[in-house]
Amino acid sequence: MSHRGSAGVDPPGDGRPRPDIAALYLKHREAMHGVAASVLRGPGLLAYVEDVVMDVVTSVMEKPPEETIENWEAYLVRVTRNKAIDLVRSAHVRHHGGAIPIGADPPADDYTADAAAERVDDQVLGGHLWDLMAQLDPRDRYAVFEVKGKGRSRDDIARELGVSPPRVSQITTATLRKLRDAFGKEGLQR
Amino acid sequence: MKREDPEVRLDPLITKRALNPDMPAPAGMTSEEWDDVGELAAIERELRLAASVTPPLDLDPVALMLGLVPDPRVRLDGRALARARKASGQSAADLAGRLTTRGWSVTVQQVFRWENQSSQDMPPALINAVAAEVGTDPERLLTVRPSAVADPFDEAARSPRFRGLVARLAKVRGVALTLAESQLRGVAAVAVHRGDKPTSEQWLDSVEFYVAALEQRHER
Repeated sequence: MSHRGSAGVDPPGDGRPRPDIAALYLKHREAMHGVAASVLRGPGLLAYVEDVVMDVVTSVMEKPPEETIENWEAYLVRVTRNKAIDLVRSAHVRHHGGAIPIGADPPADDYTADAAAERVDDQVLGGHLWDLMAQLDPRDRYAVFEVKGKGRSRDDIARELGVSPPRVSQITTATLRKLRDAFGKEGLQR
Repeated sequence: MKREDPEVRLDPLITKRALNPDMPAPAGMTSEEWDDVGELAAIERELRLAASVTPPLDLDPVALMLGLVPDPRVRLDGRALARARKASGQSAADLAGRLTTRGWSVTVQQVFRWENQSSQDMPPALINAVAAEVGTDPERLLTVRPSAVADPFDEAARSPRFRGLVARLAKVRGVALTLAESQLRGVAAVAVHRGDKPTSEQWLDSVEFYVAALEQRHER
């Protein structure tokens, strides 16, 4: 019996220990589901979110990245977004045949799911929010996701963080603004 | 009188608009300010979507596969852990630090709690990581207690077929038999949560399907 544990991820060539995939998933599963949902929602493929996430986790377990990963959340978000976009593209190919014309306007008679499937740029934007989330201060990210994402009360989060409830409001509003401004700065206005 | 911070005042308004994008602007708000709220509300809607599609941990198939769902039947033996940790020459802080390096959020206080009080919230994957860091077989750190509540899978779990599936899963995931069994019981529990009430044979069929799928992925 191996004592390597649950990681399924061997040490990289640089000798630095790699984190356990289970621990990474526990920390970042919401971001992974979020980015997959952002990409898959438009084309009506939300039912495949869990499949995409499962695919990412198993592929990282079976074939861990060779490079040194400084920000695992950003890495997992990127891989998840790419898998989800692959799924959208293959769904399009199954329906229409041929590759998706990236950036092309969908035909006027196309129905909603496939029209959305063609707007690859939009799907990249949806997933891009999670790239930005990965760069946030961990406390700000936690506060904004718990309050704005999960709808938890700001009093609860204030207690957890040891700050006042109004301070939580300041943090969450400022963080939303930071995310919105980052979209704008990169020319990614929705 | 102290004026309320505008960011604090905007907070509930952003949420209201996230939930109702077409709501009219409140009196006294300029169109610029309302556009600002609309953009922030759009971001909040993305976050709400993410939260809504993330399954609870105990129903999350990936979490079950990775051994992240604690099994109330399986506990870490605190005294065995303390012995193994000391034999490996590590302090509690060393162990917490090593686990943190592996990506787990673990404090020294938690290590002391596992050794002296309770470890019932520890998921199998973390127990596996602890065993790896103190250099012992996970089975040596575990105690299995019969559940206080009758488990609907106990009958099927006693069958040789189930034992075979546990061994296959332990092999493909590289985990201890006890932890593999926990994982399979979790997978079966999800099937029940989703509304099925399988017979023993049906339950074993679905568990076998799960193990075979993991084996196939592993072979790819």
